[in-house]
Parts: sequence; C-alpha cells; structure tokens
Amino acid sequence: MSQGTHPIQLEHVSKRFGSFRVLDDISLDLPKGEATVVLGRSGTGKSVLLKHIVGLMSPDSGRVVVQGQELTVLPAADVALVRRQIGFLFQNAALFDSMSVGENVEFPIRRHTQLSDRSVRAQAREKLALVGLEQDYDKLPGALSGGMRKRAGLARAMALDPAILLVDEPSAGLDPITSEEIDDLLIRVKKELGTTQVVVTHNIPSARRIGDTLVFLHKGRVLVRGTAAELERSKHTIVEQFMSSEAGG
Amino acid sequence: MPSWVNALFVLPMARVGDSVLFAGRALAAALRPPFEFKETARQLYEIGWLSVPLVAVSGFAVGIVLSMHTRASLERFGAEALIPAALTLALVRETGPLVVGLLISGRVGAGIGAELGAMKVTEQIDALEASAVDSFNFLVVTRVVACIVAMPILTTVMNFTGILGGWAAESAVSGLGLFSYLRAAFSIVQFTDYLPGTLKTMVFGFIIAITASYLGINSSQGTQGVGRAATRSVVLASVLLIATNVVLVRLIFFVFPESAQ
Amino acid sequence: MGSPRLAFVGTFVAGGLLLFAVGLFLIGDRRQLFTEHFELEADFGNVTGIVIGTSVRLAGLEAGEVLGLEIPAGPGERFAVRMRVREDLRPLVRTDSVAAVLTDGLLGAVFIQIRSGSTSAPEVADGGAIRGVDSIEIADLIEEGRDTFRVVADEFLGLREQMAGTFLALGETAETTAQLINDAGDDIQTVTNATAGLMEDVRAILADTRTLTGDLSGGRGTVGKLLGDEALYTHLVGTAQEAEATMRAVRGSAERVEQLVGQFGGEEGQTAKLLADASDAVRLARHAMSDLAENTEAIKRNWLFRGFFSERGFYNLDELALDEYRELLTRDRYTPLRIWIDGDLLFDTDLDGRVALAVDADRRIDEAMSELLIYPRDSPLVVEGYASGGGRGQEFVSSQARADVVRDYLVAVYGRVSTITGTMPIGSDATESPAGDGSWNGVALTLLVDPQHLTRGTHPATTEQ
Ligand SMILES: Nc1ncnc2c1ncn2[C@@H]1O[C@H](COP(=O)(O)OP(=O)(O)O)[C@@H](O)[C@H]1O
Ligand SMILES: [Mg+2]
Repeated sequence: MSQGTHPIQLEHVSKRFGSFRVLDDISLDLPKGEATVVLGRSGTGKSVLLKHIVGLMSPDSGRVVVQGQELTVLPAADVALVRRQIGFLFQNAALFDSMSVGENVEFPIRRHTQLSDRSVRAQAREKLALVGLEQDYDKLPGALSGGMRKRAGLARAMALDPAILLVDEPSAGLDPITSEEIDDLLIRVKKELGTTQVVVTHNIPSARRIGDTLVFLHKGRVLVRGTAAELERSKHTIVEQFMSSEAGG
Repeated sequence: MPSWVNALFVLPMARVGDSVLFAGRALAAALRPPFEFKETARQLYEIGWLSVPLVAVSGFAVGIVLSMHTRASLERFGAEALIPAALTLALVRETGPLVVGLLISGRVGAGIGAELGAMKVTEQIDALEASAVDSFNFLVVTRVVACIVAMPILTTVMNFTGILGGWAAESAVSGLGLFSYLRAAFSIVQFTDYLPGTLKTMVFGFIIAITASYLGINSSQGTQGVGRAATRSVVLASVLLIATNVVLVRLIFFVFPESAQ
Repeated sequence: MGSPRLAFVGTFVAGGLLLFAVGLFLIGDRRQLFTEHFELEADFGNVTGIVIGTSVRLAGLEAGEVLGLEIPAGPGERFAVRMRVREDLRPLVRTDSVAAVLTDGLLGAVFIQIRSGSTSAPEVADGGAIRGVDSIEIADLIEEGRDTFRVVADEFLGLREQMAGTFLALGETAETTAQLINDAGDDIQTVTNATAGLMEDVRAILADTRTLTGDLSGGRGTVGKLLGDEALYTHLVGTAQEAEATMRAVRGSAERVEQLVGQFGGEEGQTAKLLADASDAVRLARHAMSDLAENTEAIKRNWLFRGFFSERGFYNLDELALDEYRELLTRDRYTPLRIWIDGDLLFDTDLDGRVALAVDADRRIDEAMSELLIYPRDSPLVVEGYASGGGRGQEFVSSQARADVVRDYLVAVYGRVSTITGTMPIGSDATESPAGDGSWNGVALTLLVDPQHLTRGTHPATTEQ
C-alpha cells in the first residue's frame, strides 16, 4: 500500500453538508494504472468523492493523499501542481461557455505548457478526434447536445494526458454505440498511458467493461468493494438490484 | 444569541465583512503576480470596447439634453456665451462620471453577475480550479482590473461625445463652429474639475466589478440564483456607486479646495 | 483572444488615453500649470463673480488666476484678492498698476484685468499689492463727477465777474488788468466748454448704463453693443487729457491771483475778501478738475462703455466752425488725406440756378474716392467746398452748395455714414491747393485717418485729381 502503487488514498474521510452526512469515514486506496468504478444511487456522494480527490472539497475529517501529497495541508501552489496531473470530467461537463469547444480543450494545454500555438491546436484537435468531435472545433458549447458536451469535456480532461483521470458519468445521455466507444477510449488510454482512473457510472455493462475494481457507495459508506463478479455475488439487496439492471440507472 | 439578532445583525454583517475581505483580496491580488494579462485584455474588450457604442451614444444624447437645459437657463440671463463652458463643467465634473458609472453597472455589472453566477452553477469555476487555475485571479481580478482601467476611458469617451452632442445642439441653434465651441467649452474647466472627476470613476469601476463578482461567485444554485445575482449586482452596484460618489465628491473638495468653487 | 480583438483593446486604451490627454491639453493650455508664477494682491470693494481660479489678464494675455479671497474684517472695508501671475509678465506689473474686475463680453466669464503700470514705477514684488478698481465704482465716480463739473463751471463764471470787478475797482493799469482777465476768462471758457461737452457724454453714459442694465435683466443679448471702435473711446480719454491741461493753465492763473492778493494785501478789506474768495474758488476748481481727470481715467479702464462711444459720433461736424476745423486738422490725432477735385468739370447749374453734379462728375469723384477706399470706412470724411469769384458771402454760399452735393453723392453711392461725413464751406482760400496760387475752385475730399492706419510713405498726404 505504498504511495507509488496507490496514487489516490482516502483515509477515514468524512464530509457533511449541514446535518447531512455525505461521506462517512471512507477509506479507499486506488491502485495505479487501474480503473475503479464507483457505483451508488443518486445523491450518495459519488461526485463529492471525486471532488475530494481533486481538492475542490476538503474533508471534515480524515486525509486525502494524491500522488503522495496530502491535499488538505498543502499550500495552494502545490495543490495546483497535483491538479495538473489530474484530468476531471465533471458530471455536467462544465465546459467554459465563453470559449469554443476547441478553445476549451486548448485551455489546459495553453495554461500548463509552453507549446507553440500550432502544436496546441494540433494536440487539441487530436483529443477531440479521440471523442469524435474533430468537426466541432469552432462550435460554442451552447450549440452542442448533452452527449457531445460530455465528450468535449472528456477531451479536455485528457488534454494533458494526465496520470489520473476522474470521470463523472461519462455515458449519461449517450447512445449505446457512442457510450461503448467512450468505454473503449478509456480502456485504451489506461493501457497506453497507464492512467489511474476513477469512473462514476450508472451503466452496469459499461462498469463491467472498464472497471478493474468496483466500489459500491451507500449512505456515505463503502458497502461493497471488488470485481464485477464479486459484486454480483453480494448479499446486499441494493447491490443485487443495481447489478441486475443492465440498462443502468 | 436570540435568532433575530442573528438574522438582523450577525448574518448581514458577516456578508459585509466577507465582501470587504473579498474586495481587499482582489485589490491585493491585482497588484501581485501572477498577472492574467490575456484574460484581462479579453475582459477589457468585453467591458471596455464593447461598451463604447453604448457610452458614446448615451454621451451624445446627454450632451444634447444638457445643452438644451443649460440654454434654457442661461438664456434668461443673456449668457448664451457660457453654454459650452457650463455644459462641459457639468459633464466633466459629475454628469459624465455618474452616467457612465450607472450605465456600466447596468451593462457590465449585470454581465459579470450573470456570467460568474452561471459559471458557478455549472461548475465552470470548479473546472477552472481543477485545471490548476486560480479562479479568483482568473475571473475576479481580471474583471476588476479591466473595470478600473475601462471606466476613466469610457468617461473620457462620454465627456467628449457629450461635448460633441452639446455642440450639435448648439450649432443647430446658433451655427457655432466646432473649434470655437471646443475653445469655449474648455475655457472655464480646470484640472481640478477634470482630473478628479475622471479618475474617481476608477473607484466606480472597482465597486461595480467587486459587487458583481462577489454576488456572481456566491450565487446560490440554479438558474434562478443566476438571474438574482445579475439583478442584485446592478441594484447594489448602482446604490453603492451613488453613495460612494457622495463621499468621493466631498473628498475631492477636501483635497482640491479649488474645485469646490 | 484573436488579434483583431487585441487591436480593439489597443484602440480602446490608446484612444482613451489620447482623448484624455487632449482634454488635459485643452485645459493645460489655459492654466499654464508648468510656467513660473509670482503672487500679487489687489483690493476690491465688490468681488461679484470672482472665485478661486478666475482668470487674470494683462494686456489681453492670459496672465494667471485668482488664488484666494480674503474677507475684510468689517463692513466698508475692501476684499483682498490674491492672484498668481506669470513670472514673465512681471516687468509689466508695476506698483502703480491697477486691477479691475471685468466681464468677458458683459455676460461672459468674469476676469481680472491688470493694467501695466508706468515705466517709472518699480516692479511689484512677489506677494506685493496693487490698487483694485471696481467697475461699479466707475458709475459712481461719473455721477459724482457730474456734480463736480457743475461746481467748476459755476464757480468759474462767478470768479470771472468778481475778478473783473475787483481789478477795475482797484484801478490797476489797464493793460495788466485786461491781460489777466482775458487769460483767466479764456481758461474759464475752455474749462466750461470741456466740462459741458463731457457732461453731455457722461449723462449719455449713465443713460446707456441704465439701458444696459435694463437689457440685462430683460435677458436680451447685449454683447453686440460692446463691440465697438476704440478710436471713439480714446476720444474721451483725449477730452480728459485736455481738461487736465486746462486745469494746469487755471492753476497758473490762480497763482497769479494769489500774487495779486499778496501785492494788494490789506490795502482794502473788500478787495482782499474778493480775492480770497477767488483763490478759494480756484482751489476748489483745481480739486474738481483733478477729480475730473481721475474720473475720466476710470472710464478709460472700463471698456464696458466703449461700445457706447462708438455708436455716437464723437463730434458733430455741423457745429464745427471753420477755425475749429482748421485747428482739428493740425492735431496729430488724425492725418488728413486730401484729394483735390476741380470744380469746373464737376458742377453744373440746374434750371433753378442750383448747383448740381455735371454729367461726368461721378467718374471724377469715383476716381478720387478710389484713393481713399483703402482706409477704414469709419474714418471721418469732410468735403471741403471751395469757390472763387464773387464776394466773400457768395463764395461761402456756393462752396457750401458744392460740398453738399458731393457729400450727398458720397452718402448715397458709397454708403458713407452721414454722422461721420461732413461738409466744410471754405471759400476760396486754399494755402495747400495744387493750383499754387493759394486758392482753389472746386472741392477737396479730406479723409481724417488714424495715423496707425497709414502705411507710411506709400501715400502722399494730398493728391490732385
Ligand atoms: N456543495 C454542496 N453543498 C451542499 N450539499 C451538497 C453539495 N454538493 C453535494 N451536496 C449534497 O451531497 C449529496 C451528494 O451529492 P453528489 O455527490 O452530487 O451525489 P451523486 O452521488 O449523485 O453524485 C447530495 O445530497 C447533494 O445534495
Ligand atoms: Mg453525481
């Protein structure tokens, strides 16, 4: 359980909003180069969990250690350094409205590299091509469908080929074919770049395909953790219900 | 602590304190690297350049109206010769700065409030942070700086288009030439009328940008919150601006006693 | 951020700064922020319209601005106005310089005019003071002056009779007495004349001031009234100087009277008393006359009245006697330019026996006038009529008739203003005539030109047509 092999470590993380306990003493170590799929009903704190990993939220208690650095005690400049190694696809894509799709993908590259304008564009175009949006480079986010926005957000998250990729519901709003393509893309990126991935999804077939480990969150706690096969054998009704709903929720 | 004390005093004062800290932070960050030059330039384009037509057209109209009013009052004393100077004095000292302030708190205040509110609600601000960008520096400081820089320039635009409007109105009545008008216009104006009047709009710019940014960034979830942030930005920025103006005018009179004449 | 957008930002900032700088320049131009200054103080009884920053002018130049006003300790005392004046103008500001509060075109901005002082007075020191004159006071002074003139005139008339009586009663030698009386009489006459003329002016000024004030409250623009010809205004100044010169003569007479009193002192009570009265009167007159001089000087300072003078003719040619006219020509105030036109070809006698212009006359007059058209149109022009042959009376009548026809022609054809286009019947005497025999038969167009309008040397003073 060394830092080198587990770039993301959560130790007894608790988080509450008012009196509502969203994360309740969660401890998780996510192994390097593996994809962890986070499952759970809506509103159980999956997105909140992801935001803790990137430091957008701080735990009320417990520690979050990413790439060996404890985010909660780190100075802002060093948090930024950690964040540069993380790609984050937000649940609602969170594209910058004032920028075109291409500029959205260019944004992290321009901010964090010294590449020439040309190379920046080339790299952004390449990432958009990965998600099938090379034709939409100059469109504004407002002109895209929800699924396209999701894909553009994914391209932006992958723009710097980050060591860690946090993906919040990538296939929500996508047709099954595109959804599979996205799954393939995530698997390929993991294989080729050794990216550590945390994927939140309700799509069980997709979870089976990409997830090396599946984590089931319920009432602020990790209810079950294991491979898809292991989860299927779980005695918890809620998990059973989840795993049998092939269409996803 | 009784709940009414909390509601009537502690919470509002906490907001005031919070916003003052917010303003102080913005001011400090504006003077300290890293500077977001590109984004500041973009904001200067949005806030400054795109406001020029609004300000120029309004200035022209204000100039015409002021000219008609000054004519109406000065004609009674047979002092038509003073119309350009009286108009310029009124415009440069107060009307220009205040009208620009209110126009910009309308156009830009609402814009900033709504934009930042929307960015907050749609997690774009989080996305910026997640991209290792200091969202405060990137969003708030750039807008504050752009507003501070743009305001005196827009005021100058307003002053000159106002004088042009005054000339247009005047030449329609008396056929006075532009250069004679300009010479007459500046015959009474002093540095102490012109400089403080123009430069105080930097304070207006600061107030507008800070108020709108604060309300935008702290807007509650949902599109309703965004709309509210926009409206409140305009209202609060305008009120603060008018109130600050009273203090500023007093302060200017104190620093430049000549301008109180 | 594309480059066109960046260009807009650049335009916005650079254009804004430029515009701002233009504003600064337009103001800076006026306030001379960057030149050296010295401070000066002047006192005024009335500071209407003076504020900090009110501009100060000297000889028409922007010289500085008002820095502050000091409120007097009590009523009846004067306000001290502190000014800042351009250092390079200091040589012009002397201890006898006078400051006056004036209005730019009556209703324009109020400003303070400093009159440069005399060369003999020392330069004003930094922080020094000069005298201030209030424009409102000038009207008061004139009103006061009018009474003074009356006193002067009455006293002098009385004095003349008294003196005549006194000296006769004393049985002085006829020559001395006559001499003295005549001298004194002449002086009195001059003063009386000057005074009477001036009084008329002053009365008109006052009337006009009232109309000005009336117009002002009525809201009508009166600025046009104030734009006038300086020449007429300076005439008043001339009158004042004349009066002052006369006063000097009177003073001389007074001294002689006093001498007489010394000679005959105590010999006869009656005489001594009369003489004492006389010298009192002379002394009073002296005061009155110096008041007159001062008051006229005050008028000079206020160009507000200038326009008024330009609207009135400053002399009435109809009332001018021949020798007065000749005397006028000898003054250096005007240079007479004379164009002689021969009468034989100019005039015909019509059926009623009256003088009329001959067929070709207009061409000849036009030719003559063409010489004079280069001078200001408001220069007075006198048509001198000459006629020789017949008795003196006949000569006078026909020279008047001739001058009249030509004048009417000038007024009708050249649009000459009738008040400054006069006639002067002269007869046959013409010392300067081109005929060479000291006489002329015809007319001479005499234009009285302000010497400053003469382009030196290019034009002879007289030309024959
Ligand atoms: N910033 C916040 N303030 C208050 N409550 C929040 C905040 N973010 C999330 N929550 C609450 O936390 C719970 C978990 O949210 P989330 O993680 O988004 O659920 P999900 O598992 O569907 O992603 C929800 O009930 C949500 O209302
Ligand atoms: Mg979620």
